[in-house]
This record gives sequence, C-alpha cells and structure tokens, in this order.
Amino acid sequence: MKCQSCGSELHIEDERCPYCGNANPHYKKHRLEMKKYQKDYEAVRRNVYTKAGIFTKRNAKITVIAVLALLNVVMLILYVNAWDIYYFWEQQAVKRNAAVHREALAEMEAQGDYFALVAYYDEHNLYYGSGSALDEYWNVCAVSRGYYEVYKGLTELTEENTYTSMEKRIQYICENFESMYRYSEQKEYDRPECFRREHVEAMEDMKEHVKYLLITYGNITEEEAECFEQLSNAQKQLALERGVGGYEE
Amino acid sequence: MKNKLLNLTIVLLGILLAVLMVFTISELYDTGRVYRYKAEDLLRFVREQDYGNMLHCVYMNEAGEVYASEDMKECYAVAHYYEAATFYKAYAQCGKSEEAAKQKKVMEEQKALMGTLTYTAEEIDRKLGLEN
Repeated sequence: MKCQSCGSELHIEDERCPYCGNANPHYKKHRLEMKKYQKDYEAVRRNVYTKAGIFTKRNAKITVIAVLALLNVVMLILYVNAWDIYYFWEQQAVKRNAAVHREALAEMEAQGDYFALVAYYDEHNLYYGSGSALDEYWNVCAVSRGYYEVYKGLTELTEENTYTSMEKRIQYICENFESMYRYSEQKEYDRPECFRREHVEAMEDMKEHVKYLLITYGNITEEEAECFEQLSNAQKQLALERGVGGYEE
Repeated sequence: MKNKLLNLTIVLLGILLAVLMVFTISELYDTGRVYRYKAEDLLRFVREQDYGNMLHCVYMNEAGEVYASEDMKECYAVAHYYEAATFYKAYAQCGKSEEAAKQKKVMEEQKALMGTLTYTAEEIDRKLGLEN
C-alpha cells in the first residue's frame, strides 16, 4: 500500500510512514483485527484440546467400568462354584499323590492299624480320588470307619452319659455293625479290586476283633458273638441290652 | 454430571469386587480347612477322660503330620495307652494271650512316654478294671 501523504511504499504493519512520519490510518484497524483473530485462534485451539481431552478420559473410564464389571462377574462365578473348584483341586492333588497314599494305606492295612487307616483317609481327603489307584481301599476304609465307631461305642457303653440314652447308644453301635457287614460283603456292582485277598483279610480281621470287643465290653457270650453278624438289628440291640443289664446287675 | 456418574460407578464396582474377593477367598479357605487339634483340646479330653474321641483326634493329627509339642506327645501317649489297654483287656478276656502280651508291651512303651500325664495310666486301668 502507499502513504496517503507522500505516496511512498507503506506496509500495513507500519504505525507511521518511514519517509514522512505521518500516521498510518489502517494500522489501528489492522492491529485490532489481528488481536481478534489471535483471540479466536486461541479459543478454537482451547476448544479442540478440551474436547479431545474429555473424549479420551471418558473412553478410559468406560473401559475401566467394563473391566471391573467383568471381574465382578468372574468373582461371582468363582464364589458360587467354590465347592466345585475345591473338589477339582483336591481331586487332582489326590491323583497326583496316589502312589504315596497307596503305599501308606497298604502299610497300615498290613499292620492292622485300622484306626490310623481311616484317619489317614479322612485327613488326606482320599474319597476325592475316585477313579484312581486308591479306589481299591474304599471298602476297607468304610469297614474301618464302622469298626472304630463300634469300638468306641462298646468301650464306652457302660460309662455314664447324660447326653445320650443307653438305648440310643446301643442303636448307634448296631447301625455301625450293619455298616461294617454291609461294606465287607462283595456285591455284583462292587469293584473287584476292593475285594483283593489282603483287603478281605483285613475286613475279616476287623470283624474278628469286634467279637472280642462284644464279649469283653458288650458282655455277651461267645456263642452270641460268633453269630452276631447273622442276627437282625433288633436282635443285636436286645443282645447288647441284655449284656449291659448284666453289667448293671 | 456424566463424569460424576462414571466415577461413582467405578468406585461402587471396585468396592463390590473387593467384597466378592474377600467372600470367595474365605469360602475357598473354609471349604478346605481341616481342624488341627492343639494341646489344649487334647488336655481337655484327658481331663474329661474322653479317651475314645481323643484317640481319633490323635490319629487325625498324626495323619496330618501336625507338629507335636511335648504336651501333645504326652497326650498322644495317653491315647495310645488307652487303645492298647482296651485291646489288652479284650484279648486277655478272650484267651488270646499272645496278642494280649503284645498290647501289654505297647501299654508299657506308651506309659514311658506319658511324662507329666503318667497318672492317667492308673485312671485308665481303673476305668477298664485292669488294676489287678
């Protein structure tokens, strides 16, 4: 552009003419417009940055919520299925150590430590080992469990007990007798390995010991003890009640 | 407003997750927990002369290879003495002298391990009528 006073070259950003010194009438307007453009630019820039920032933060929060919701669902499923998870875990542990457990059970069975056998079975949750090499001890363990209950019941039969009547105690003993005899008899659906020679011998040994306990603590005769297995539940109870009556006399 | 709602949702889900984790871990722990009998439990059995139940507890501890203090070892000896004494009486009464002698030997071995609980041997003998 040209100076209105002297006609020399003038830039719009010159406040005065460099030749005649007269004020540039367009300078002020230009300055004001430039300031306005600067302000607009800054505002738009802020706007763009702000919007972009909000969009990114919101996305992140939604992602966090989705992840938390998924974790909550997973945790709820774990909680509801805690027993199944524990069962699976124990089952795998038992199967992994099946050889060690089998050796321990075999030793206890050979030595006639039937109470130790059932405690070992319970302590190590070996009933979770279904389908493993430990299955063959299932019947021996079941008979051992009944044997222990019969032993405890008979040895404590004549003790004072304010919690349970004599009738109930005798009934409990007889139920465990039944359990012993039931699991010591091989049925067609039983696994044949459960009735291998050594297991049958162990179960017969326990039944033999029960006879001694019946004679000593049940106060029944040797003849009654020999045929105790064949008696009905009611007859067993009567025999023991007679025996206890004999003690009390 | 939307921001506050999102923040609140995150906090609530976080608390819910923490609560569920506590419940789940507690449930898994309780499911698999096996009670270990301590010396106090066994001594209570001795005081109450509840040797039958004590015997099973001792076997459970032994099967679990629970570390046994001196007190506990003495209680174990009492339980095994009782077991041997009950079978000794049964064998003796039924004329099984060989087996009775074996149980007598076990009784003597266990009595030697009873330490401060040696007096229970006499109590057990009295209870079973073995004093003579």
